[in-house]
This record gives sequence, structure tokens and C-alpha cells, in this order.
Amino acid sequence: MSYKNNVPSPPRLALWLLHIFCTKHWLEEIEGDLEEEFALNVEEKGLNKARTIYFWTVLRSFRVYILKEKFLSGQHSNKRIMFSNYLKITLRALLKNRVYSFINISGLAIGIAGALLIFHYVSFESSYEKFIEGSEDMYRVSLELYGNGEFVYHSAENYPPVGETMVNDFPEVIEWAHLYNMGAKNNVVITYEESPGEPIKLKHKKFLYASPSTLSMFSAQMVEGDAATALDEPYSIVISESTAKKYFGDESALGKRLRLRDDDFNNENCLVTGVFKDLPANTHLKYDVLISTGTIYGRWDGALTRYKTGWVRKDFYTYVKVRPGTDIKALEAKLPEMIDRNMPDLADQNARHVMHLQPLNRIHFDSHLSDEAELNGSAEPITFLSIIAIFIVVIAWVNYVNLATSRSLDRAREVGIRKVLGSLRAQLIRQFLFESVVINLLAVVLALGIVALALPSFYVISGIPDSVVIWQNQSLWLLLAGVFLFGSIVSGFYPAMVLSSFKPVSTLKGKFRNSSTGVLLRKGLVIFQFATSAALIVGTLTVSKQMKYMQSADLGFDLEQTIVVERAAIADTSRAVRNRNLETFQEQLRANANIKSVSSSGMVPGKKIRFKGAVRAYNQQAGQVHPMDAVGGDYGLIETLGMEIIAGRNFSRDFPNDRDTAVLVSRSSVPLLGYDNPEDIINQAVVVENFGATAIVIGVVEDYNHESLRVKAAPSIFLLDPQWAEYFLFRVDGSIPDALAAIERQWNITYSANPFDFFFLDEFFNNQYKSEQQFQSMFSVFSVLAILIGCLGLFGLSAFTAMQKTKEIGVRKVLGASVQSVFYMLSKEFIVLILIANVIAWPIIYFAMDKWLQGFEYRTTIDIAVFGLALLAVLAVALLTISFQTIKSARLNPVDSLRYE
Amino acid sequence: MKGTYLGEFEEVVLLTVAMLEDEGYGISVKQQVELRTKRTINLSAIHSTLYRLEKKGFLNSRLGEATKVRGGKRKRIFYITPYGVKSLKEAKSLREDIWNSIPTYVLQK
Repeated sequence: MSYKNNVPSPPRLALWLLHIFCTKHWLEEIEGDLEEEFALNVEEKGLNKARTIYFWTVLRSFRVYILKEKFLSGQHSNKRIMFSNYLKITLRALLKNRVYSFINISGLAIGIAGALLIFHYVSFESSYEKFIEGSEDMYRVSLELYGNGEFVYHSAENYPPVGETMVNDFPEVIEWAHLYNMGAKNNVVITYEESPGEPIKLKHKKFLYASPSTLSMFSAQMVEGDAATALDEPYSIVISESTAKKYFGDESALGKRLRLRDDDFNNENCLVTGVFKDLPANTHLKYDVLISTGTIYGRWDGALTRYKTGWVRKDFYTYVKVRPGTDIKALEAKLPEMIDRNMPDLADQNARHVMHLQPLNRIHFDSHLSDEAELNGSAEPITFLSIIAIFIVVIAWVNYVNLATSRSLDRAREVGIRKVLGSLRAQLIRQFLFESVVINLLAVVLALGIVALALPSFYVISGIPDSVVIWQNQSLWLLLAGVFLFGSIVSGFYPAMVLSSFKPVSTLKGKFRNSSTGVLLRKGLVIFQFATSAALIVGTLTVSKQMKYMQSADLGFDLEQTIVVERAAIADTSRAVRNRNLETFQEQLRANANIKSVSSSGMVPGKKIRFKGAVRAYNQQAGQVHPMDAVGGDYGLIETLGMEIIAGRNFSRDFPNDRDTAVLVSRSSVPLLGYDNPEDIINQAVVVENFGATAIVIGVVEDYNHESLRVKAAPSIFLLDPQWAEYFLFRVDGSIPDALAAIERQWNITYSANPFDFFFLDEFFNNQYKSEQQFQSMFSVFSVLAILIGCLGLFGLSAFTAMQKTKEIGVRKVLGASVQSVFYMLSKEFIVLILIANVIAWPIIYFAMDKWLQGFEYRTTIDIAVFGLALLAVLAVALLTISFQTIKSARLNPVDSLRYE
Repeated sequence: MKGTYLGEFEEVVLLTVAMLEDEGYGISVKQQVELRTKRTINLSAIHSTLYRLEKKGFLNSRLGEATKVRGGKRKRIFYITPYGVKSLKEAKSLREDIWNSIPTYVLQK
């Protein structure tokens, strides 16, 4: 391994820990040894391994002897005795008030555990692409298109020569790569024909054509072959380790041949030139199979222009790497000139292009363009969850401060005696800080246990793959250390100051009362806790309302009970045979009792529509076209998808002319084409300019949300074209397993060369809401956690208030007060606090949720009732918590309570 | 006898230090022990054993030279004390005694 420019250094965190904990006396030699071993390990095992070993060794070095020497060495035997006394007193205090200790420690532990889990989620989400060397200098070039001044699309894909041109034209751009997402556009089957047994056929989705520099630019880790040259030659195929295993078992894949066949009749024999380690989960561009772009240049006349040199079709994800320190805004500003130079005809076509440089590291967060390689996440949930994490920990700290100060009466006598015996204030502060360190330490240990227990469910809820091991997340340990130190000191500081300030005379006389500032602070903190709880309840309810709204919203489709099968990748080259197969396959299944309707289709809900029609009404001026989603389908399409015809009629075999001239449009297309009412456009002619077709509108369908409700329903046009069959849709009416079995049987007869594959439409569609669903469950779980911790604190606090007022309660009862009136007296204070808390929380959460909802084109409203509900919920939970204690004290026999002093 | 007892790992480390003469420090001891026992050993285990042996009086140490690969930090070179040699010899003779007392036919099993 070469050293490059910067010498590899051991992990800073480990070094820091070592410096803190290691005895001065031994520090130099231990650090030296560690460094020497680290250098050896970097040579032998690589940087990452070396860093892990270093870290581990430092942790293992916390052997008792080092700590003992540091803290309890003989020189300061005085200190040592004091510390053991502090420890003893701390443990006694903890054991004496088991309930308080339990509330304190478990509250803190739950809070820390929650924060750690959220942090792990957040750091996974922000770790996207970070494994790629130099990812901070990499950009994807996206393409935004305007036609006639109207926005048409903003695509993640771009023209094939863009990357190369940028490297040639701009010195600050040093590398480029582009990929064609074949797996998403076509059906591909790759076969290992020379397999010793049956030929092995697999369908591939994560399959792209890639330019030669792709592997090295994306830091692919090669198991076999050379990343720099593997994609140089045409007919080269590079596969992931797990794919190689599927085809070749344990044999070496290098030099083997794989045959590629797809539904565009490509049929090529490719040579395996490389195997790369399976990609980690945190990348937006996941691929199993790459084939060299050189392979596609020779496919047909003009393929070279289409796929390499032409500025005609935008088909390639284009990535560039710039010199570190490049001004990206300035580079972006040079792109219009490049576009003009290479596409001089744009202005004549009334079109305009804008290209954007998207930072690679941000794509996962905020890129929601057309043709994305995968559904990306978004930044807001991350922000929301981070805020919740902070609140959870702060609430737990607040509990600690509250309980510690309110319990100060208990400790006042101890403080008095210590002072009389000559303790200095600084010593007392040290003692109470030490206590807080012990409590926080216990909480941290417990928190780690909770995290370990909660992990399996956490993986399910958050959707993070469990291959990302939480314990290996170094910044998580750093955070834990930070929470521990900050918590020990900050939450311990105030109680320590308060406790140590007591005057010995008054505490020993027993005339001691809580100070009014202390009470005020406690009230403030309680208000804060309840405000947070109320806000979280409103937030949770609103998020789940929006989710319910999206899932139950009328999409204009009926997705239930629908099975989708993609068209065959390996199809007969003869058009006649193909059409006959298409007919037979559907005809046979139409007769099945379990299947209500069948249709071939050019689209499937939940997947972006690939074709845009440039449409105008016949009487509109040529060239003044409107972009519309263009969908091809069979006679049964509208029925199978359960769409609604609002004017005119559906395609029908009873009208022979339909086959050549009929189209349907969606409701929102009508005004674009110059008609006010859907009825008016029936039997009018429209022109689809880019298809070179003139057609008659025979019907209008209701608008439908082809994609997630985050985006607006697009105007669209339906063409009757039974051969435009990328999918087969089956609406089942009866037994799904039986229908499925029948479909598979028929598939194996008609398309015997192809592996069978299917999916359910509703699942496929709802997959789009995956990130929202994860957000919802995370949000609810952690809100509940925050509320729970708040209640724990309240429980302790109310118990304490009740205890303090034992005597008062006794007197009141002797004078004839009822249990209810005592209960009222005790809870009155908290009720007021809760009301104030709610009033504070409402506007804040209203604005936060309003902002979140703005991200959805179709959104629910924020219910005012929800606020009332939150208030009631907080009130109910709080009263329930309080009542447990207050009723107990209210029902006490006054004799006992008066005797308690 | 607490404090003079020599554990198995301690004995291996002590022997290694003796073998390395004036070259015994954290890394070199670790490498030799790993090489001879065919085990992977964490550096911290070596450190703690060396310091323990020093505390018990079997080893003595001084600070050695600094090298670049150590980031300019000095090594602690360990060497065996006469007391250490004596303990090793005692341990050896104890074993030999017991070995010699094992009936021959047991060893032929």
C-alpha cells in the first residue's frame, strides 16, 4: 500500500481517550508502541483495519492498573479516601431512594438509548456515498428542459457526450463517467450457457451500461480483474461478488462468458472481466451488473451517435469529478454556453435546457428528479428526528435536575453536617458532581443494554440494513462520550451548586425551605417537558393523518388485487410470432375464472412514465405543443386499472376505427388543449407531434396520481396500442394463489425461454411511501419515548411534592378536607403548568408541521382538534401519574401523617 | 507466595524478554510471543504483563531511543533482573522435578 500524500493517522478519538486515561508516566512509550504497531498494520492490513485495531487496543488498555494509578495513586491518599467515601455515600443515597434512583437512571438511559438510535439512523442517512473516494468533489449533471417556456421535466439523466465535453472544455473538471440504466428501462435476462448443469438464467434489475472510468471513479473494490481496465473493451461484463456466486459458485468468474438478452432483441455474448465486492447500502446508485458502453455502440447504424456522440437523447446518468476547491457556481455558469455550442438548434425549437451540478453526497437527501436510479430520501425527516433526539436527552436531563433539586431537602442535613465538620464548598460541589457522574455512568451502561435489545426492531422500523453495524459507528461512541460528560457536568452542576450553598445553621435547625428561584426553575423545566410532549403528540398525529390520507386518497386507480408481470426479455424476433404470443398469453388467462380482466400496458402506476407526448389540439398552432404523459395500452387497460371515464367512452372493439385513431385524455389535459369542459373535447382531433400522429379524442378519464401524492397529477394521453406491452396487468377476482399459478403456467408455455417474475400492484405503488412510513414509525416511537421519560420525571416530582406536604395534608384532613379536595390541591399546580406548556407548544408545532406538509402536493389539513387532543392526552397522562402518589397520600390516616416528623 | 507466582502468560513474556536481551519492548515482545505461540495477542495484554512483571521485580526497564515510525516517542526497553532469572530457573526446575516424577508408562500412553 502506498502512502500517497498524507500519512495515515490513527483515529483521533482513540488518541484523545488514551491521553485522558493513560498514566502520564507510561503515556509516551504506550503511545509510541501503538503508533509503531499502527504503521505496521497499515502496511499489512490496510488503513481501516489498522484504525480498528488501534481503537480496540486503546479500549482494551483501560485495565484497572492504568486507571488505578491515575486516580487513586498513593500520592494523594487523602483524595483516595474522600473518593471512596463519596462513592459510598452515592451508593447509599441511590439505594435509600430506590424509586428516585430508578426514575433518574432509567429515564436517562432510555433518553440516551433513544438518542443513540436516532443518531445512528441520521448518520447512516448522511453517510451516503461517503465511501467513494473524493465523493465531495463529485457531481451529477442533471438536465432541466423547457419547451415553449413551459417546464417539461427535470431529469437525472443527460446526453451521452456531456461528461466528456466538460472534461475537454473546462480544466477544473478532471474525470467523468456515465451510465445507462438499462435494468430500469428494459427487461434483461443474462444466461450462463456453458454452465456444467442446466444453463443458469437470471433476470437483472440493477443492471447498467457503464463507461470505462466508472469502476475507479466510484471506488469499486475489485475481487477479480482490474477496475481501471475492466470496462475498456466492448462485450465486457463486470458483476458483483454475489452475482458471480449465483452463476459460477466458488469458481473464478474471470474469463467466463455470459449471454445478455433483452426485450429489444439484443443478444450478445459477453466476457466477464471483473468481479467487484457487493456495494454497500448507502449509495444511491446500486448496481449488480455493469456492461461496457462500448458494447452498445455497434448494435445498429447510428448507435454510436445515439449512445456516445449525439446531443439527441438523454439517457445517461452523468457524473463528473472536479478539482478540489473548484467554485461550483462558476462552473455551472459555464454550462449554458456549452449547451448553446453543442445544440445550436434549441432556440428554433422553442426549447431551453438548463444543466445543474448536483453534489453526489446530496443526491440521497434531496434529489427527486425524473429517472432517478432509486427513490431517494429527504432531509426534513432527518432534521425532525435530530430535533426529537435532542429533546429526548434534554428531557431526561431536566428530570435529573428536577429530582435532584427537589430532593435537596433530604440532603440538606448531610450538607450541614459536612460543613460543620469543615467541608469546603468546592469539596461539596465535587461530591455532588461525582454523584452525577456515577448516575450518568450507570445510565450510559443501561442505555447500551437498551440499544442492544432494541436493535432488531429498530432495523425493521428504520429500514436501515442490519449489515451496518451500530457499534462500529465511531462518531456514535464520540456522541456517547459527549452526552455522558455533558450530562454529568451540566445536569450535575445546578444541583451541586444549590446543595452546597446551604447554610449549616438553618439546615441543622430544621428551618430549611426550598428557595423560590429553585421552585421557579423547576416549574420552567416542567413546562418545557410538557410543551415538548404536547408538540410531539400533535406532530405524531399530523404525520399519521397525512400518511392515512395518502394511502386512502382516491388515486384515480384501483390498485387492489392486481398482479403485474413484465413482458418477456427474450422474445421471438418475428413480429408476427410476438404478437401472436401476446394475444395467446392474455386470451388464455382471460378465460380463467379467477381473473376478472387482463390488459397489456405501457405503464404501471408507481413508476415514472417514460414517454412524453408533445400534444396539441388540431386547431392549435403547430409547434405550440403541451407535454403530456403518453401511455399505450390495450382495450382492457382502463377497466383493469379501475379508472373512471368522465366523458365520452372507453376504447372498444365495437368501433373498428378505434384501433387507428382513438385516444383518451385525462381531465387536466382538457384545458391545455383549449376546451372548457371534458364533454366539449369528445370527437375533436388532436395531434401528437413527436409521434407524428393525428387522433380523435373519444373519451376523458378522471385525473389519476400515477406517482406518489408528493407530486401533482400530470396531464396524460392514452393511445390504443395493444402491442405497446411492457406489462401485463391481471385484475384478480377470486383466489390469488390460483390466479398466480395459472399465470405462471401460461407464462411457461408461451414464454418458456424466460424466468417467471411478478409483483402486486398495490405493494409496488405503496413502496413509494417507504421513506414516509419509516419516518412515521420513527416519529411515533420516539415521541412516545419522549412522553414516557417526561412522565417518569413527573411521577418522581409529584411523589416528592406529596411527601413534602404530608403534614399539611394531615392538618387539612383533621379539619375535614375530603380526599378529592386534597387531590385537587396537589394536582392544581401541575394542571396550570400543563396548560401553559400547551399554549407555548401549539404555535411552534403548527408552523413545523405546516412546513412539512408543504412538501406534499396533496396534503391533509392540520386539525385543530388535534391540539385539544394533545392537551387532553398530556393532562390525562400527567394526572394519572400524579394521582398514583397523591391519592396515596390523601388517603393516609392523618394520625400517621402528622406523626411523621 | 502472592506476588512471586508466575502465570503461564507471564512466564512466556518473561522468557521472551530474556531472549531478546536488550531489544525487548512492547512491539518486539508482542511479535516474538505471537510468532512462537501462534496466537494473536492484543498489545495491551503485553503492556499490562510487562508492567506487572516490573512491579513484581522480575523485570527492570529504561527508556530507549525514539524513532520516526513511533512519531518521535521513546521506547521502554525491558531487561530481566537476577531475581527474574532466579524465578524462571525455579519454575523450570519445579517442572522438571514433576516431569521426572511422572511414571514412564504414563508418558507412553
